[in-house]
Amino acid sequence: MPDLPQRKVGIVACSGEDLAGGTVTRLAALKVLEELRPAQTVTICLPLFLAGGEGDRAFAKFYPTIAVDGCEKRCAARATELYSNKPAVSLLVGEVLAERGLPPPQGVRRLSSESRAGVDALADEIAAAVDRLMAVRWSRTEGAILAGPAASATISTGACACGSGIPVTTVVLDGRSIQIMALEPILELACGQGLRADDAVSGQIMDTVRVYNAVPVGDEAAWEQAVGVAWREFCAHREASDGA
Amino acid sequence: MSQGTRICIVPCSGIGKTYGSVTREAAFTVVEELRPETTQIIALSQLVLGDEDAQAAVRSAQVITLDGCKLTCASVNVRQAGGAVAREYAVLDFYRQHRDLKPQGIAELSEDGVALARALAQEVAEASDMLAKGIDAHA
Amino acid sequence: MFEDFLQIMVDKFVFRVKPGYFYTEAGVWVAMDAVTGFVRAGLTDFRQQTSGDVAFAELPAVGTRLIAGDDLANIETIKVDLTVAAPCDAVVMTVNAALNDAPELINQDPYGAGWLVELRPATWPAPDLLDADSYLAVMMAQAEEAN
Repeated sequence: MPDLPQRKVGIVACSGEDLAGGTVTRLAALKVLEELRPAQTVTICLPLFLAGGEGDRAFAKFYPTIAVDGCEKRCAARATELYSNKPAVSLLVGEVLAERGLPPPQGVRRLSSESRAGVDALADEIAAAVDRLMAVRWSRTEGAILAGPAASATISTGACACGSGIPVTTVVLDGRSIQIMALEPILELACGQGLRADDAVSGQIMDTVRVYNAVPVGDEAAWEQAVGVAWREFCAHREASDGA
Repeated sequence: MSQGTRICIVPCSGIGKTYGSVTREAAFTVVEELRPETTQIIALSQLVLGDEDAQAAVRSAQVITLDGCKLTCASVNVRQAGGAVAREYAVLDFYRQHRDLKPQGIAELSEDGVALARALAQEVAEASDMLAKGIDAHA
Repeated sequence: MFEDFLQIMVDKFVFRVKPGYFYTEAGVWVAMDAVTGFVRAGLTDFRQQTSGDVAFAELPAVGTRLIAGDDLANIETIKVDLTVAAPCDAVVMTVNAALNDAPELINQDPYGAGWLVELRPATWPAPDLLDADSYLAVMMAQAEEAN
Protein backbone atom coordinates (compact mmCIF):
# COMPACT_ATOMS: atom_id res chain seq x y z
CA MET A 1 0.00 0.00 0.00
CA PRO A 2 1.62 3.26 -1.07
CA ASP A 3 2.11 6.08 1.42
CA LEU A 4 -0.35 8.95 1.33
CA PRO A 5 0.59 11.60 -1.22
CA GLN A 6 2.20 14.74 0.12
CA ARG A 7 -0.14 17.52 1.16
CA LYS A 8 -1.09 20.10 -1.43
CA VAL A 9 -3.65 22.85 -1.86
CA GLY A 10 -6.02 22.78 -4.80
CA ILE A 11 -6.81 25.79 -6.97
CA VAL A 12 -9.88 25.99 -9.20
CA ALA A 13 -10.14 29.05 -11.45
CA CYS A 14 -13.25 29.95 -13.42
CA SER A 15 -11.28 30.95 -16.55
CA GLY A 16 -14.52 32.53 -17.77
CA GLU A 17 -14.38 34.01 -21.25
CA ASP A 18 -17.17 36.56 -20.68
CA LEU A 19 -15.28 39.14 -18.71
CA ALA A 20 -11.74 40.29 -18.08
CA GLY A 21 -12.11 38.93 -14.55
CA GLY A 22 -12.13 35.41 -15.93
CA THR A 23 -8.83 36.01 -17.67
CA VAL A 24 -7.41 37.46 -14.46
CA THR A 25 -8.37 34.31 -12.52
CA ARG A 26 -6.69 32.11 -15.10
CA LEU A 27 -3.45 34.07 -15.19
CA ALA A 28 -3.28 34.50 -11.42
CA ALA A 29 -3.91 30.81 -10.81
CA LEU A 30 -1.22 29.87 -13.32
CA LYS A 31 1.23 32.25 -11.70
CA VAL A 32 0.74 30.53 -8.37
CA LEU A 33 0.87 27.04 -9.87
CA GLU A 34 3.96 27.69 -11.95
CA GLU A 35 5.96 30.30 -10.05
CA LEU A 36 4.86 31.17 -6.55
CA ARG A 37 3.89 27.81 -5.01
CA PRO A 38 4.62 25.09 -7.59
CA ALA A 39 5.37 22.38 -5.03
CA GLN A 40 2.36 23.10 -2.83
CA THR A 41 -0.42 23.45 -5.35
CA VAL A 42 -2.41 21.45 -7.84
CA THR A 43 -5.25 22.36 -10.13
CA ILE A 44 -8.10 20.76 -12.01
CA CYS A 45 -10.14 22.01 -14.93
CA LEU A 46 -13.51 23.04 -13.50
CA PRO A 47 -15.51 21.22 -16.23
CA LEU A 48 -13.94 17.94 -15.17
CA PHE A 49 -16.28 17.88 -12.20
CA LEU A 50 -18.96 16.93 -14.72
CA ALA A 51 -16.91 15.42 -17.53
CA GLY A 52 -14.58 13.42 -15.32
CA GLY A 53 -15.00 10.56 -12.89
CA GLU A 54 -15.39 10.13 -9.15
CA GLY A 55 -11.70 10.72 -8.66
CA ASP A 56 -12.03 14.15 -10.25
CA ARG A 57 -15.09 14.97 -8.17
CA ALA A 58 -13.18 14.09 -5.04
CA PHE A 59 -10.69 16.88 -5.77
CA ALA A 60 -11.95 19.48 -3.31
CA LYS A 61 -12.46 16.88 -0.64
CA PHE A 62 -8.99 15.50 -1.10
CA TYR A 63 -7.29 18.88 -1.27
CA PRO A 64 -8.25 22.01 0.65
CA THR A 65 -9.30 24.06 -2.35
CA ILE A 66 -9.19 27.73 -3.25
CA ALA A 67 -11.88 28.76 -5.73
CA VAL A 68 -11.05 31.85 -7.78
CA ASP A 69 -13.86 33.63 -9.61
CA GLY A 70 -13.99 36.49 -12.06
CA CYS A 71 -17.52 37.69 -11.35
CA GLU A 72 -20.37 37.49 -8.90
CA LYS A 73 -21.74 34.35 -10.51
CA ARG A 74 -18.90 32.56 -8.68
CA CYS A 75 -19.02 29.61 -11.04
CA ALA A 76 -15.83 28.08 -9.65
CA ALA A 77 -16.86 28.30 -6.00
CA ARG A 78 -20.44 27.21 -6.52
CA ALA A 79 -19.74 24.42 -8.98
CA THR A 80 -16.93 23.11 -6.80
CA GLU A 81 -19.30 22.98 -3.84
CA LEU A 82 -22.06 21.47 -5.95
CA TYR A 83 -20.06 18.62 -7.43
CA SER A 84 -17.05 18.17 -5.22
CA ASN A 85 -16.83 19.87 -1.84
CA LYS A 86 -17.17 23.34 -0.36
CA PRO A 87 -14.00 25.26 -1.17
CA ALA A 88 -11.89 26.08 1.83
CA VAL A 89 -11.39 29.58 0.42
CA SER A 90 -13.37 31.53 -2.17
CA LEU A 91 -11.78 34.56 -3.82
CA LEU A 92 -13.50 37.07 -6.11
CA VAL A 93 -11.39 39.21 -8.41
CA GLY A 94 -13.46 42.34 -7.86
CA GLU A 95 -13.19 42.09 -4.09
CA VAL A 96 -9.45 41.46 -4.08
CA LEU A 97 -8.76 44.37 -6.42
CA ALA A 98 -11.02 46.72 -4.48
CA GLU A 99 -9.26 45.86 -1.21
CA ARG A 100 -5.98 46.88 -2.77
CA GLY A 101 -7.29 49.98 -4.47
CA LEU A 102 -6.74 48.57 -7.94
CA PRO A 103 -9.06 49.33 -10.86
CA PRO A 104 -11.24 46.67 -12.50
CA PRO A 105 -9.37 44.68 -15.14
CA GLN A 106 -9.69 45.52 -18.83
CA GLY A 107 -9.37 43.25 -21.84
CA VAL A 108 -10.85 39.78 -21.99
CA ARG A 109 -8.64 38.14 -24.58
CA ARG A 110 -5.53 40.22 -23.78
CA LEU A 111 -5.40 42.02 -20.50
CA SER A 112 -4.34 45.63 -20.64
CA SER A 113 -0.89 46.32 -19.22
CA GLU A 114 -2.53 48.20 -16.37
CA SER A 115 -4.51 45.12 -15.49
CA ARG A 116 -1.39 43.06 -14.94
CA ALA A 117 -1.09 44.52 -11.46
CA GLY A 118 -4.44 42.94 -10.72
CA VAL A 119 -3.11 39.53 -11.76
CA ASP A 120 -0.15 39.92 -9.44
CA ALA A 121 -2.36 41.07 -6.58
CA LEU A 122 -4.71 38.12 -6.99
CA ALA A 123 -1.79 35.72 -7.29
CA ASP A 124 -0.35 37.06 -4.04
CA GLU A 125 -3.72 36.62 -2.36
CA ILE A 126 -3.97 33.04 -3.62
CA ALA A 127 -0.42 32.29 -2.46
CA ALA A 128 -1.19 33.65 1.00
CA ALA A 129 -4.26 31.46 1.16
CA VAL A 130 -2.12 28.48 0.13
CA ASP A 131 0.24 29.18 3.00
CA ARG A 132 -2.64 29.38 5.48
CA LEU A 133 -4.15 26.14 4.24
CA MET A 134 -0.79 24.33 4.34
CA ALA A 135 -0.64 25.21 8.04
CA VAL A 136 -3.94 23.54 8.95
CA ARG A 137 -4.88 19.90 9.33
CA TRP A 138 -7.16 18.72 6.55
CA SER A 139 -9.37 15.66 6.69
CA ARG A 140 -9.56 13.96 3.31
CA THR A 141 -12.48 11.86 4.43
CA GLU A 142 -14.49 14.79 5.74
CA GLY A 143 -13.18 17.38 3.30
CA ALA A 144 -12.82 19.88 6.12
CA ILE A 145 -10.28 21.59 8.30
CA LEU A 146 -9.56 19.76 11.55
CA ALA A 147 -8.91 21.53 14.83
CA GLY A 148 -5.31 21.67 15.94
CA PRO A 149 -2.09 22.47 14.18
CA ALA A 150 -1.09 20.84 10.96
CA ALA A 151 2.55 21.09 11.69
CA SER A 152 4.24 17.78 12.14
CA ALA A 153 5.68 17.57 15.59
CA THR A 154 8.18 15.31 17.26
CA ILE A 155 8.32 15.01 20.99
CA SER A 156 11.14 13.58 23.05
CA THR A 157 12.00 13.72 26.72
CA GLY A 158 15.38 13.50 28.33
CA ALA A 159 17.11 14.62 31.48
CA CYS A 160 18.01 18.27 31.82
CA ALA A 161 21.61 18.91 30.88
CA CYS A 162 22.20 20.68 34.21
CA GLY A 163 22.30 17.30 35.93
CA SER A 164 19.30 17.98 38.17
CA GLY A 165 17.43 15.01 36.78
CA ILE A 166 14.43 17.18 35.90
CA PRO A 167 13.01 15.84 32.64
CA VAL A 168 13.04 18.18 29.69
CA THR A 169 10.66 17.60 26.82
CA THR A 170 11.69 18.83 23.41
CA VAL A 171 8.84 19.55 21.03
CA VAL A 172 9.95 20.08 17.45
CA LEU A 173 7.29 22.02 15.60
CA ASP A 174 7.76 23.12 12.03
CA GLY A 175 11.45 22.56 12.36
CA ARG A 176 11.74 24.64 15.55
CA SER A 177 12.72 23.06 18.88
CA ILE A 178 11.03 24.19 22.06
CA GLN A 179 12.39 22.72 25.29
CA ILE A 180 9.95 22.58 28.17
CA MET A 181 11.09 21.61 31.64
CA ALA A 182 9.02 19.15 33.65
CA LEU A 183 6.36 18.85 30.98
CA GLU A 184 6.07 15.11 31.24
CA PRO A 185 5.33 15.00 34.99
CA ILE A 186 2.89 17.90 34.50
CA LEU A 187 1.05 15.91 31.83
CA GLU A 188 1.18 12.82 34.00
CA LEU A 189 -0.39 14.80 36.84
CA ALA A 190 -3.15 16.15 34.59
CA CYS A 191 -3.85 12.71 33.24
CA GLY A 192 -3.91 11.27 36.74
CA GLN A 193 -6.57 13.81 37.66
CA GLY A 194 -8.77 12.41 34.91
CA LEU A 195 -8.28 15.31 32.53
CA ARG A 196 -8.21 14.55 28.85
CA ALA A 197 -7.21 16.37 25.68
CA ASP A 198 -9.11 19.50 24.85
CA ASP A 199 -8.17 23.15 24.43
CA ALA A 200 -9.45 24.22 27.84
CA VAL A 201 -7.26 21.67 29.59
CA SER A 202 -4.29 22.70 27.48
CA GLY A 203 -4.73 26.18 28.90
CA GLN A 204 -4.62 24.86 32.48
CA ILE A 205 -1.53 22.84 31.69
CA MET A 206 0.10 25.89 30.18
CA ASP A 207 -0.47 27.75 33.45
CA THR A 208 1.44 25.02 35.29
CA VAL A 209 4.16 25.01 32.65
CA ARG A 210 4.73 28.71 33.32
CA VAL A 211 5.49 27.90 36.96
CA TYR A 212 8.50 25.84 35.91
CA ASN A 213 9.54 27.63 32.73
CA ALA A 214 10.34 31.18 31.77
CA VAL A 215 8.35 31.50 28.56
CA PRO A 216 10.12 34.06 26.39
CA VAL A 217 8.15 37.23 25.80
CA GLY A 218 6.45 37.11 22.44
CA ASP A 219 6.78 33.36 22.24
CA GLU A 220 3.67 32.47 24.20
CA ALA A 221 1.72 31.34 21.13
CA ALA A 222 4.43 28.93 20.01
CA TRP A 223 4.74 27.49 23.52
CA GLU A 224 0.99 27.08 23.84
CA GLN A 225 0.93 25.29 20.53
CA ALA A 226 3.79 23.03 21.58
CA VAL A 227 2.11 22.23 24.91
CA GLY A 228 -1.16 21.53 23.13
CA VAL A 229 0.52 19.14 20.71
CA ALA A 230 2.39 17.35 23.48
CA TRP A 231 -0.76 17.05 25.62
CA ARG A 232 -2.82 15.55 22.78
CA GLU A 233 0.01 13.18 21.93
CA PHE A 234 0.33 12.15 25.60
CA CYS A 235 -3.40 11.46 25.92
CA ALA A 236 -3.52 9.54 22.68
CA HIS A 237 -0.58 7.41 23.77
CA ARG A 238 -2.11 6.83 27.18
CA GLU A 239 -5.46 5.83 25.69
CA ALA A 240 -3.76 3.47 23.29
CA SER A 241 -1.74 1.78 26.02
CA ASP A 242 -4.72 1.62 28.41
CA GLY A 243 -6.98 0.36 25.66
CA ALA A 244 -9.37 3.18 26.57
CA MET B 1 -28.15 38.02 -36.32
CA SER B 2 -29.75 38.14 -32.89
CA GLN B 3 -27.80 36.90 -29.90
CA GLY B 4 -30.21 34.01 -29.50
CA THR B 5 -29.51 32.55 -32.92
CA ARG B 6 -25.80 33.08 -33.03
CA ILE B 7 -23.76 29.93 -33.27
CA CYS B 8 -22.27 29.06 -29.89
CA ILE B 9 -18.55 28.44 -29.64
CA VAL B 10 -17.63 26.61 -26.46
CA PRO B 11 -13.89 26.32 -25.75
CA CYS B 12 -12.71 24.07 -22.97
CA SER B 13 -10.14 26.65 -21.82
CA GLY B 14 -8.38 23.86 -19.99
CA ILE B 15 -5.86 25.30 -17.59
CA GLY B 16 -3.59 22.28 -17.36
CA LYS B 17 -2.12 22.19 -20.84
CA THR B 18 -1.26 24.44 -23.73
CA TYR B 19 -3.99 22.90 -25.83
CA GLY B 20 -6.60 24.40 -23.53
CA SER B 21 -5.17 27.83 -24.21
CA VAL B 22 -5.31 27.08 -27.94
CA THR B 23 -9.06 26.47 -27.66
CA ARG B 24 -9.49 29.74 -25.81
CA GLU B 25 -7.47 31.73 -28.32
CA ALA B 26 -9.21 30.09 -31.27
CA ALA B 27 -12.63 30.87 -29.82
CA PHE B 28 -11.74 34.52 -29.27
CA THR B 29 -10.38 34.75 -32.81
CA VAL B 30 -13.62 33.42 -34.27
CA VAL B 31 -15.93 35.55 -32.17
CA GLU B 32 -13.96 38.80 -32.13
CA GLU B 33 -12.33 38.81 -35.55
CA LEU B 34 -13.62 36.29 -38.05
CA ARG B 35 -17.35 35.99 -37.36
CA PRO B 36 -18.34 38.63 -34.80
CA GLU B 37 -21.86 38.96 -36.20
CA THR B 38 -22.78 35.31 -36.29
CA THR B 39 -21.04 33.64 -33.36
CA GLN B 40 -20.82 33.95 -29.60
CA ILE B 41 -18.72 32.35 -26.88
CA ILE B 42 -20.48 30.46 -24.14
CA ALA B 43 -18.33 30.17 -21.03
CA LEU B 44 -17.97 26.52 -20.10
CA SER B 45 -17.74 27.43 -16.42
CA GLN B 46 -21.30 28.75 -16.59
CA LEU B 47 -22.52 25.57 -18.21
CA VAL B 48 -20.86 23.56 -15.45
CA LEU B 49 -22.68 25.63 -12.86
CA GLY B 50 -25.98 25.20 -14.69
CA ASP B 51 -26.43 28.87 -15.49
CA GLU B 52 -29.84 29.19 -17.10
CA ASP B 53 -28.82 31.67 -19.76
CA ALA B 54 -25.86 29.53 -20.82
CA GLN B 55 -27.99 26.40 -20.90
CA ALA B 56 -30.69 28.14 -22.89
CA ALA B 57 -28.11 29.32 -25.40
CA VAL B 58 -26.69 25.86 -26.13
CA ARG B 59 -30.14 24.34 -26.29
CA SER B 60 -31.50 26.83 -28.77
CA ALA B 61 -28.55 27.48 -31.05
CA GLN B 62 -26.05 25.35 -32.91
CA VAL B 63 -22.92 24.57 -30.95
CA ILE B 64 -19.30 24.09 -31.93
CA THR B 65 -17.02 22.77 -29.20
CA LEU B 66 -13.25 23.06 -28.98
CA ASP B 67 -11.53 20.57 -26.70
CA GLY B 68 -7.90 20.44 -25.65
CA CYS B 69 -7.66 16.81 -24.63
CA LYS B 70 -9.40 13.46 -24.89
CA LEU B 71 -11.60 14.19 -21.88
CA THR B 72 -13.65 16.47 -24.17
CA CYS B 73 -15.05 18.55 -21.33
CA ALA B 74 -16.68 21.08 -23.64
CA SER B 75 -18.61 18.47 -25.64
CA VAL B 76 -19.59 16.51 -22.55
CA ASN B 77 -20.81 19.55 -20.68
CA VAL B 78 -22.79 20.89 -23.64
CA ARG B 79 -24.59 17.56 -23.91
CA GLN B 80 -25.13 17.45 -20.17
CA ALA B 81 -26.76 20.86 -20.44
CA GLY B 82 -29.18 19.55 -23.04
CA GLY B 83 -27.45 20.99 -26.06
CA ALA B 84 -26.46 19.18 -29.25
CA VAL B 85 -22.92 19.48 -30.54
CA ALA B 86 -23.05 20.26 -34.24
CA ARG B 87 -19.31 20.12 -34.70
CA GLU B 88 -16.56 19.23 -32.28
CA TYR B 89 -12.86 19.91 -32.64
CA ALA B 90 -10.02 18.22 -30.80
CA VAL B 91 -6.96 20.42 -30.80
CA LEU B 92 -4.66 17.42 -30.68
CA ASP B 93 -6.12 16.02 -33.89
CA PHE B 94 -5.86 19.44 -35.50
CA TYR B 95 -2.25 19.77 -34.37
CA ARG B 96 -1.43 16.43 -35.97
CA GLN B 97 -2.40 17.99 -39.28
CA HIS B 98 -0.29 21.08 -38.58
CA ARG B 99 2.82 19.64 -37.08
CA ASP B 100 4.88 22.70 -37.85
CA LEU B 101 2.79 24.76 -35.41
CA LYS B 102 3.73 23.28 -32.07
CA PRO B 103 1.92 25.14 -29.27
CA GLN B 104 3.70 25.92 -26.02
CA GLY B 105 2.82 27.89 -22.94
CA ILE B 106 -0.43 28.08 -21.03
CA ALA B 107 -0.63 31.61 -19.61
CA GLU B 108 0.87 32.94 -22.81
CA LEU B 109 0.75 30.95 -26.00
CA SER B 110 3.86 30.70 -28.13
CA GLU B 111 3.91 32.25 -31.57
CA ASP B 112 3.28 28.85 -33.13
CA GLY B 113 0.50 28.25 -30.63
CA VAL B 114 -1.21 31.47 -31.68
CA ALA B 115 -0.77 30.48 -35.31
CA LEU B 116 -2.27 27.05 -34.63
CA ALA B 117 -5.19 28.72 -32.87
CA ARG B 118 -5.70 31.01 -35.84
CA ALA B 119 -5.67 28.08 -38.25
CA LEU B 120 -8.21 26.30 -36.09
CA ALA B 121 -10.28 29.45 -35.85
CA GLN B 122 -10.38 29.72 -39.63
CA GLU B 123 -11.69 26.19 -39.92
CA VAL B 124 -14.23 26.80 -37.17
CA ALA B 125 -15.37 29.99 -38.89
CA GLU B 126 -15.93 28.14 -42.14
CA ALA B 127 -17.81 25.42 -40.32
CA SER B 128 -20.00 28.04 -38.69
CA ASP B 129 -20.82 29.44 -42.12
CA MET B 130 -22.01 26.05 -43.22
CA LEU B 131 -24.05 25.56 -40.12
CA ALA B 132 -25.64 28.94 -40.57
CA LYS B 133 -26.66 27.93 -44.09
CA GLY B 134 -28.07 24.69 -42.78
CA ILE B 135 -25.39 22.59 -44.42
CA ASP B 136 -24.04 19.61 -42.51
CA ALA B 137 -20.67 20.87 -41.28
CA HIS B 138 -19.29 17.33 -41.23
CA ALA B 139 -19.50 17.09 -45.01
CA MET C 1 -8.27 -5.10 -21.99
CA PHE C 2 -6.65 -4.91 -18.59
CA GLU C 3 -7.45 -8.34 -17.23
CA ASP C 4 -4.78 -10.15 -15.20
CA PHE C 5 -2.56 -7.14 -14.68
CA LEU C 6 -0.54 -6.23 -11.65
CA GLN C 7 -1.63 -2.79 -10.58
CA ILE C 8 -1.21 -0.05 -8.02
CA MET C 9 -3.29 2.99 -7.25
CA VAL C 10 -1.68 6.31 -6.46
CA ASP C 11 -3.96 9.27 -5.81
CA LYS C 12 -6.73 8.83 -8.41
CA PHE C 13 -4.55 6.96 -10.92
CA VAL C 14 -4.30 3.23 -11.54
CA PHE C 15 -1.07 2.00 -13.09
CA ARG C 16 -0.88 -1.48 -14.61
CA VAL C 17 2.00 -3.84 -15.28
CA LYS C 18 1.64 -6.86 -17.53
CA PRO C 19 2.96 -10.08 -15.99
CA GLY C 20 5.34 -12.10 -18.12
CA TYR C 21 6.90 -9.06 -19.78
CA PHE C 22 10.26 -7.55 -18.92
CA TYR C 23 10.90 -3.92 -18.16
CA THR C 24 13.44 -1.15 -17.91
CA GLU C 25 13.35 1.33 -15.06
CA ALA C 26 12.59 4.03 -17.61
CA GLY C 27 9.23 2.45 -18.38
CA VAL C 28 9.82 0.41 -21.51
CA TRP C 29 8.36 -3.11 -21.71
CA VAL C 30 9.86 -5.95 -23.71
CA ALA C 31 8.17 -9.23 -24.65
CA MET C 32 9.76 -12.15 -26.48
CA ASP C 33 7.95 -13.91 -29.31
CA ALA C 34 9.37 -17.43 -29.07
CA VAL C 35 8.33 -18.24 -32.65
CA THR C 36 10.12 -15.38 -34.36
CA GLY C 37 12.83 -14.84 -31.78
CA PHE C 38 12.07 -11.15 -31.89
CA VAL C 39 11.00 -8.99 -28.99
CA ARG C 40 8.32 -6.36 -29.08
CA ALA C 41 8.84 -3.17 -27.11
CA GLY C 42 6.59 -0.37 -26.02
CA LEU C 43 5.84 2.12 -23.28
CA THR C 44 4.45 0.96 -19.97
CA ASP C 45 1.05 2.10 -18.75
CA PHE C 46 2.77 4.25 -16.13
CA ARG C 47 4.99 5.94 -18.67
CA GLN C 48 2.15 6.69 -21.08
CA GLN C 49 -0.15 8.00 -18.38
CA THR C 50 2.45 10.28 -16.88
CA SER C 51 3.55 11.51 -20.30
CA GLY C 52 0.09 12.43 -21.56
CA ASP C 53 -1.79 12.09 -24.82
CA VAL C 54 0.54 11.19 -27.67
CA ALA C 55 0.60 13.61 -30.57
CA PHE C 56 3.35 12.01 -32.64
CA ALA C 57 5.60 8.95 -32.45
CA GLU C 58 8.87 8.96 -34.37
CA LEU C 59 10.16 5.45 -34.81
CA PRO C 60 13.56 4.29 -36.05
CA ALA C 61 14.23 2.94 -39.50
CA VAL C 62 14.09 -0.82 -39.98
CA GLY C 63 17.63 -2.20 -39.83
CA THR C 64 18.87 0.34 -37.28
CA ARG C 65 21.43 -1.17 -34.94
CA LEU C 66 21.09 -0.14 -31.33
CA ILE C 67 23.05 -0.41 -28.13
CA ALA C 68 21.05 -0.53 -24.89
CA GLY C 69 20.31 3.06 -23.92
CA ASP C 70 20.49 4.47 -27.45
CA ASP C 71 17.59 6.63 -28.63
CA LEU C 72 14.95 4.20 -29.84
CA ALA C 73 12.00 6.50 -30.43
CA ASN C 74 10.91 10.08 -29.93
CA ILE C 75 7.40 10.59 -28.70
CA GLU C 76 5.75 13.98 -28.52
CA THR C 77 2.84 14.23 -26.14
CA ILE C 78 0.69 17.13 -25.08
CA LYS C 79 2.90 17.44 -22.02
CA VAL C 80 6.43 16.46 -22.96
CA ASP C 81 8.81 15.42 -25.71
CA LEU C 82 10.20 12.16 -24.51
CA THR C 83 12.99 10.01 -25.84
CA VAL C 84 12.55 6.29 -25.41
CA ALA C 85 15.76 4.43 -24.76
CA ALA C 86 16.51 1.08 -26.35
CA PRO C 87 15.99 -1.67 -23.74
CA CYS C 88 18.81 -3.88 -25.02
CA ASP C 89 21.39 -4.31 -27.76
CA ALA C 90 19.33 -5.11 -30.84
CA VAL C 91 18.47 -4.51 -34.47
CA VAL C 92 15.15 -2.94 -35.44
CA MET C 93 13.13 -5.47 -37.45
CA THR C 94 9.67 -3.89 -37.63
CA VAL C 95 8.01 -0.66 -36.58
CA ASN C 96 4.35 -0.22 -35.74
CA ALA C 97 3.02 1.59 -38.81
CA ALA C 98 -0.40 2.00 -37.20
CA LEU C 99 1.08 4.71 -35.01
CA ASN C 100 1.44 7.01 -38.02
CA ASP C 101 -2.30 7.55 -38.21
CA ALA C 102 -3.24 6.55 -34.68
CA PRO C 103 -0.51 7.46 -32.21
CA GLU C 104 -3.17 7.45 -29.52
CA LEU C 105 -2.88 3.65 -29.51
CA ILE C 106 0.10 4.13 -27.22
CA ASN C 107 -2.27 5.64 -24.66
CA GLN C 108 -5.23 3.40 -25.35
CA ASP C 109 -3.48 0.01 -25.41
CA PRO C 110 0.13 0.43 -24.30
CA TYR C 111 0.81 -3.31 -23.88
CA GLY C 112 -1.04 -4.37 -27.02
CA ALA C 113 -1.83 -2.38 -30.15
CA GLY C 114 0.32 0.51 -28.96
CA TRP C 115 3.61 -1.39 -29.34
CA LEU C 116 6.46 0.61 -30.84
CA VAL C 117 8.99 -1.71 -32.48
CA GLU C 118 10.06 -5.29 -32.93
CA LEU C 119 13.73 -5.97 -32.24
CA ARG C 120 16.17 -8.79 -32.79
CA PRO C 121 18.10 -8.79 -29.51
CA ALA C 122 21.81 -9.48 -29.51
CA THR C 123 21.33 -11.76 -26.53
CA TRP C 124 18.32 -13.11 -24.69
CA PRO C 125 17.57 -12.84 -21.91
CA ALA C 126 18.94 -9.34 -22.23
CA PRO C 127 20.84 -8.06 -19.21
CA ASP C 128 19.50 -5.56 -16.68
CA LEU C 129 15.82 -6.06 -17.46
CA LEU C 130 13.32 -6.27 -14.60
CA ASP C 131 10.55 -8.80 -14.22
CA ALA C 132 6.99 -7.56 -13.65
CA ASP C 133 7.14 -7.70 -9.86
CA SER C 134 10.42 -5.83 -9.73
CA TYR C 135 9.19 -3.19 -12.13
CA LEU C 136 6.01 -2.79 -10.09
CA ALA C 137 8.13 -1.83 -7.09
CA VAL C 138 10.21 0.59 -9.12
CA MET C 139 7.09 2.11 -10.64
CA MET C 140 5.48 2.52 -7.23
CA ALA C 141 8.46 4.47 -5.99
CA GLN C 142 8.48 6.66 -9.08
CA ALA C 143 4.75 7.30 -8.80
CA GLU C 144 4.95 8.32 -5.15
CA GLU C 145 7.90 10.57 -5.82
CA ALA C 146 6.06 12.28 -8.64
CA ASN C 147 3.02 12.76 -6.43
